[in-house]
Amino acid sequence: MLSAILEQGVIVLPLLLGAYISLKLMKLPDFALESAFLSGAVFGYLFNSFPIGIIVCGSIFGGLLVGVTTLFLNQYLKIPYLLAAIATNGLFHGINQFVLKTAVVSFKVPLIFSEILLFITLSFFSIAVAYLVLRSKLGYALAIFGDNPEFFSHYQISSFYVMGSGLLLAHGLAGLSGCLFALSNGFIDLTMGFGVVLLCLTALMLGSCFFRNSSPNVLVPLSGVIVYFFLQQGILKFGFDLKYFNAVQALIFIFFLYLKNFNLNMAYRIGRV
Amino acid sequence: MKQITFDKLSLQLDHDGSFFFKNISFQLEKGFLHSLRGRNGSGKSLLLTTLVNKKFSSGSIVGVNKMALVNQRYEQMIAHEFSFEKNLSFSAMGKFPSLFRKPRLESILYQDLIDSFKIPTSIPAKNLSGGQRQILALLMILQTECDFLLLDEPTAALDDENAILVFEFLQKMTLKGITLLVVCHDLELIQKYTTGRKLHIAVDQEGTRNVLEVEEGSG
Repeated sequence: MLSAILEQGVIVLPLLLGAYISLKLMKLPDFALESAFLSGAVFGYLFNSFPIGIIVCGSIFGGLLVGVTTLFLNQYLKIPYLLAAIATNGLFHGINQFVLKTAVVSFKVPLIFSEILLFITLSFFSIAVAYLVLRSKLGYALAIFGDNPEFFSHYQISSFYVMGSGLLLAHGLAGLSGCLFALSNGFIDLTMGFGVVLLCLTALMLGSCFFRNSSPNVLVPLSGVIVYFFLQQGILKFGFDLKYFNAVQALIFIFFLYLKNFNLNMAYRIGRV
Repeated sequence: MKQITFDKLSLQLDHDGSFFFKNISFQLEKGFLHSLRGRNGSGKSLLLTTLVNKKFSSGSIVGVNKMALVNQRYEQMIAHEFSFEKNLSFSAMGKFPSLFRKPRLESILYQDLIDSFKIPTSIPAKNLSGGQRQILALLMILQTECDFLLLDEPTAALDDENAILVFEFLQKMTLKGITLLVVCHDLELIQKYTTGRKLHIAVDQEGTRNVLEVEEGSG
């Protein structure tokens, strides 16, 4: 059970770190993470005859492309973020389909060391990058963006720079995670990105239960991913069919949202807010 | 130089070429609280925005190092989930917040003012009173080391108690050598706290452009 949690955890962790930045800190309705996840795998696959380092860079580049596209639609064409993310998803679904030609493609790379070692190394790399960014001025600026996007104009801080940096980081990490996921499965499936935003939201909600501080904290996605996969494996132990797990995720998500609203209402009633 | 001089400022509107202001000249003594009033729609906010952005068609301003505007929506100037202290450090992040440095102020300017008003600095800004949040917004602007502050109705959304708190704070700011031009509709507050000039903005008799008058007995 622990090894399953570890393997799945290290694969999903970069995605969750990215989701923490865009969904939780920047409070963007970032559906484009699904595209970044798939595009990371597809762009990694494009370099599959190269060494693993190039494949990893390719996957991050795939995620970055999705981030740049969403940013362009939102900032230059002034399309609201949710619509920009939906449009980006559509665009990249077509691009990825064009590249792969079929819905499922085998993706196996010969490695001179074990696969899990690669996954752990890249996850640690992701944590290190996220940790350094989140404790910096930029990390706090990302959190301020989610709190009050108007803030920057009053202090001559570039809102475009803050938003762009956050999106690129988030989507680059999602792309990396998509590549690890495909490598672990041994194939790329065009639908592999579906539902990853729900996974992220659920895991982040679980992680947020332990760390309520509004300052950026890499421990939120880290604890979220651990609790999430413990929960998943626990349910599996009871003989639950995992094909219904999306519904369980949605129920957990709804429960936490309700709890949050309930607590807020209570706080209003007793005059704490 | 002990005065800020606004010399023959004009603002020509883009859409029809008419003058919103023409050849407005006045002087403000440094380190005083000056007030500006006028009816709704007389152009007070536009005048302040024009001054701070230096978007006037002609004329000049002499004697200011750095000017800043605190507009009516001071809530937009604060990160509500973060504490007073954190907010102060955020205001000095620079145009491109660094990827390698933590948000930290070398020293908090006007720490004595924060202490004298007994503002709790460790709780999230959203839990402060309206007056305290307004003071926070002012202090955040001051961390950018400006010496002339334009305030557009700083007490518009505040009750009497908080409005007085803010004006007392403003008065203490002038003792630090900061010059203030405050738009306010409350005559009582203007009478009590204005230490410099009382300006009044109105539309001229032809109704074609706005004129600025310095009220008698002030300055």
